[in-house]
Amino acid sequence: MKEPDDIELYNRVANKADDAEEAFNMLYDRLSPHIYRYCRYALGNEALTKDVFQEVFLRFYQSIEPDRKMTNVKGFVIRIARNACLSARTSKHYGLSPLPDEIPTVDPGKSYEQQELLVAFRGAVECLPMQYREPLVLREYDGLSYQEIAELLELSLGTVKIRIYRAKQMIRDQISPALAELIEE
Amino acid sequence: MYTNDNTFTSELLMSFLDGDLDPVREDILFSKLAEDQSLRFEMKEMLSVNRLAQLDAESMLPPTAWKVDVMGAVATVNIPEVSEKKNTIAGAGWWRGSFLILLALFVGSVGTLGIQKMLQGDQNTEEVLAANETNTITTNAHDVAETPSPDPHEISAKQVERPSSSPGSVRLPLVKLEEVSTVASTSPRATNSTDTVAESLKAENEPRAVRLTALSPRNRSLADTGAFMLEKNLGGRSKTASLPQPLLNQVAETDKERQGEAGLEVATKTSFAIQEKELATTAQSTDPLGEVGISLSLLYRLDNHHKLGIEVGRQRTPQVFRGVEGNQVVRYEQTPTLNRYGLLYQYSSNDILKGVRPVLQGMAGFTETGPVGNALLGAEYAPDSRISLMAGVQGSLSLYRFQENWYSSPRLDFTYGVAVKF
Repeated sequence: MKEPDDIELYNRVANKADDAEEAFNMLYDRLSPHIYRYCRYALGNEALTKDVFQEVFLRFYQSIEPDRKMTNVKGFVIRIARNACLSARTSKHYGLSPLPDEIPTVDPGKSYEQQELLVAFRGAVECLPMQYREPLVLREYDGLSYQEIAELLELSLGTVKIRIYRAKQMIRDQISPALAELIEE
Repeated sequence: MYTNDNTFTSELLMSFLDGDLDPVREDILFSKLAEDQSLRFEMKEMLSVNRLAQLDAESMLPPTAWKVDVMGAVATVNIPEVSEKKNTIAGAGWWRGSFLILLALFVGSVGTLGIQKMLQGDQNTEEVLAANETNTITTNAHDVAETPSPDPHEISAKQVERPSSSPGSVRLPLVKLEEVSTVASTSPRATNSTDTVAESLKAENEPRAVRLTALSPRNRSLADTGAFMLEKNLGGRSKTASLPQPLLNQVAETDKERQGEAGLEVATKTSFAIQEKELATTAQSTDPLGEVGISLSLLYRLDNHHKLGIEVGRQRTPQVFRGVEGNQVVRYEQTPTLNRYGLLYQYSSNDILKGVRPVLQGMAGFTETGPVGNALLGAEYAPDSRISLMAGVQGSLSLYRFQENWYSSPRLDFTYGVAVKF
């Protein structure tokens, strides 16, 4: 049986269908990794990420209306997340805490060096200036198209492409020695 | 043509990694890769970065316990409707009381001035009517002729008033006898006529003012028409005469100044948002007017440059605020259409083009949710002494409060409107 798409699930929740709760559960399962990654990299603070993550889904749930014509559920929720993160970053309780070093879901078959490389990579992403980090995360972690990113960040398409490429160059420069070893292997 | 080869190569590499390199440029890139070992290494590194990003994304998942929290919160939190929230954010306060006091003062002042003006106007009319109960002298452009005077008892008040109230006529202010008699003449005929009138007036030794009533068509200045009627009690004679040009000019100036003298004005404006507070959601307004803002103003002209007034209007106002619901901090967004009431001040400078003058306007007042203020910069065009058109850019800021915290909603509008003078 074909899986319902995001819009179909959204409409089920909005119209209070019999399986509305199940539909919202499915939406959560699909969207939560994107929202988590975005919030985690936008805030750099695990405790704050948890608060904002929960707020985003609450806000999303509140905004569900039968009359709303939804065309891109993921983009819509990421926009909510972006606004929530911007608000959180301006709060007086905002502070940075490093991401956990352990990579819990990395393939156990991967070597220790590869896992170390992933930790280094994560650190390099965290060190990027926000103007480069945000489009990179939206593209590589949340799978948004360049056009969607440009609309969300209110930038030109060319600027988005260049910033993402620059972000990758900066990461490469940071972890270049480790990358060289990986390539040589 | 690319002047920087490195930039060009980077662009090729970037497009290749994105998978949107066309065959022609792909050939160029491959030839460069074949020649340049460091470029090959750079490409490998960039591909590795892409792969690491993919691995990192796959490994970053929210803790499973968070789902329980979210689902629990969604199920238990009473999600407020947008329309319900509007009533709970601050709607009454000191600003509303202050505004109502100012409004009462303004209405009282304008009312007092208006009544005074009406009484003064009635007194003047009474003077003229009293004068015409016996005789009338009429001066008319380019005609110098004595006409038989009607029986003084047959001239009714209605007949005397007709010129000033007929379409196209303009009521002029009172002019002293001395002014008529001392004006230098430019036309022999006019001189004779005016002298005749002036002499006649002097002969009567009438110390009271003469009322001039111009019979000018609408939209034409008095100096262009040159047609006047002097009404005065001179004891049983009626005369027709021209007035000299300097006097016409003087009267025209008086008429021009009169356009800017105190009086009431009604204006209406429409505005469209150029920029407004951005919301995370795209809540749709249920207002049939949608994003259009409207307002109606009643203005009192203090003089040719300054106006004071009151304004009522309504405007879509995006609002964002936070609140505590149970143990949760919840962020709210709504876009209510708010009514606004305010005091208005308008300043307009002198004409920069024919009939066009810059306008600066400020408003302070309140909405259902808090104080509001705006400032407008624009231009006014008056094709007519009664009507003016206006267009400009208006910036406004409305404040609102929720759970002891203040928030603001700025916006920028393009505004245009029309005003009618009375």
